[in-house]
Amino acid sequence: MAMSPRMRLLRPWQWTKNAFVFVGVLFGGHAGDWHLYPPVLLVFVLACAASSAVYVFNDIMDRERDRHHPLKCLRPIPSGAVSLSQAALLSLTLGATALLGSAWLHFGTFLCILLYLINNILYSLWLKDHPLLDVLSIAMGFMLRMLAGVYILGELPTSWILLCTFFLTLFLGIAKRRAEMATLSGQVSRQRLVLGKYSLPFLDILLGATGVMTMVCYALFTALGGKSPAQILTLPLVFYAIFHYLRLVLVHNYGEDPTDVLFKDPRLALIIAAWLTLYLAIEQGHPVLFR
Amino acid sequence: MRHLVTGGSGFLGNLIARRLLARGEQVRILDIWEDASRPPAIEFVRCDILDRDGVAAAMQGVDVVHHNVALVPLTKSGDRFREVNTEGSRLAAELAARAGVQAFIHMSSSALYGNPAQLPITDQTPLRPVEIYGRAKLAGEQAVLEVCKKHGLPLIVIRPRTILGEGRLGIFQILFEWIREGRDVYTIGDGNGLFQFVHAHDLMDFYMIALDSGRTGIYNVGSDRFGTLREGLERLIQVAGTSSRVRALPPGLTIATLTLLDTLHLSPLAPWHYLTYHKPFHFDVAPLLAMGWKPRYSNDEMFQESYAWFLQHYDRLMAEKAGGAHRRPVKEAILRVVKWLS
Repeated sequence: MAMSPRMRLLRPWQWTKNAFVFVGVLFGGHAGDWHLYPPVLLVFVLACAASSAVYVFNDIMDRERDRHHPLKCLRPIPSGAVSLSQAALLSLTLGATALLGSAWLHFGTFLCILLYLINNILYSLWLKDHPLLDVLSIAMGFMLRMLAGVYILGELPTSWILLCTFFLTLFLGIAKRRAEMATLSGQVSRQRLVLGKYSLPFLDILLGATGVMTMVCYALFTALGGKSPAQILTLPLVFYAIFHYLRLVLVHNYGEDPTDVLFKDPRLALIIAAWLTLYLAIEQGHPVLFR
Repeated sequence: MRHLVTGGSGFLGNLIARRLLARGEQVRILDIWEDASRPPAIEFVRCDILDRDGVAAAMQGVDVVHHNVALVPLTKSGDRFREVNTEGSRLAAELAARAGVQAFIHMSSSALYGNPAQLPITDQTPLRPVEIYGRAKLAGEQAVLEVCKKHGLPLIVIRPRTILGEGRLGIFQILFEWIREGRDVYTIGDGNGLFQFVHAHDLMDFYMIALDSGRTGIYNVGSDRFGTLREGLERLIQVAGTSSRVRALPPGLTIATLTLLDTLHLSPLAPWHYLTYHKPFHFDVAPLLAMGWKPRYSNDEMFQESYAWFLQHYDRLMAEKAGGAHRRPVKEAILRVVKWLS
């Protein structure tokens, strides 16, 4: 069934990114505490409202630019399917819902949602045209989603969760730039100003560096994060997931959107599922294999 | 002897101060609010436990410090639990040591044990709190232990079970209200695990025995006669003579729902209640009995006495709003819907 233009404006397929709110409950030693999932689910819903508010805001800001993009010109605002005033009202309502809802739940979560919205507005208006700051802003968006899901539990995040999320989301953001660079080679300057300030070799170096940092941080998290030492068994799966993703980006020019990659490459989804299963099994079972 | 009772306007602090006064001791209390019914012989100092200078001044010339300042689970204080229950306790112990007091008595909590794997609980049972209040109380107790050890300050730690009596109803007020109206009451799970309470008077009796013995250590205090939560409620309903029945709720689903309602600020129940009240919980009190303590109240007697007190003060309870969380009537909030359906 085709989605209505207004629904398309909210980009529900992008809500998978808000799954980062579950990082805290899954990796903070609470994976088996079922009662904690409903509150985090509430934060997920609020994060979806906040992210949709931002998507609509972006589409409003980019409407002129999008008219010249081969695919983006079909989006609801540039195509005229949703009027500018309707879109603005939608964005404001969603943003206000996310802010008021999170303020009702928890101050820390509210702060994360507020900073998430500010970060995204700054990204839309300014940061997206500045190399490195653009990808840092994307990573920040993920960090804030993750933190919103931690604070609602009345917990504080560990440095390990912060480090792993930071490098992984930087890696994904850079992969996105790399893919855009590869697909839009001819029309770089008109579509994304920032791509003119990067180069393929530079993005490749960044991609390799952040991929390695993600791997190293995860490895140290398993060894020093107060977890069962058996979590080291999950390293090969994480290695495969990260470097398989890198291969998809570098060899097949995938990666414009991490969510698309997951759908396009079932192997990656399978590896992630296997890693998560093994991680949780070790956490619940506490097998004593190493010291 | 001169005593300082921190949190002396609160439920336990107030009882301790009055007991000490009745024994002819000199008593000073420290609190952020003044209890209007305080006997004039008890000196009152208005001070926050985190106000270093104020607390230090209150400790001058004091022989024994009774530390009772705490935010209770019902206050749902979030990060403030850490500030008051952990840092407040550490500060109280440090300033007591600096003021040269002779002994420090720390009011701890059974929440330190969380959902213990083995029963009965002894002082060897691992401390594994399952919620924010218990974790803050554990960190507070550890801080006090550390400070007292470092300064050679004699320390008595009291970990009481859930307290009833002397007008303290806590969340039981909700159950009592429903029983009075003949509505069904609910337990999380079947309510068939052994569940121990302690009466405020019995707790005070032991408190004074521990104080007089001068034996430093950690004491788990609970009644020596107790059954299951279901038995307690069923007997109470029988005595109350209403048409209420005890109904069991599936624990997993109920805990998830209560967590969600708590997050939405729609339920009065705190994590300490809904995460632990479905599990059996009782202390081994043999070491306390060996010290000559004779608890007067069984679980049933406590329930019945509290219910009688509740009926007697019904009108006032419904109107009263002031005071600490344990002395204030609990509002049902969203649980009203459950009551309406019962």
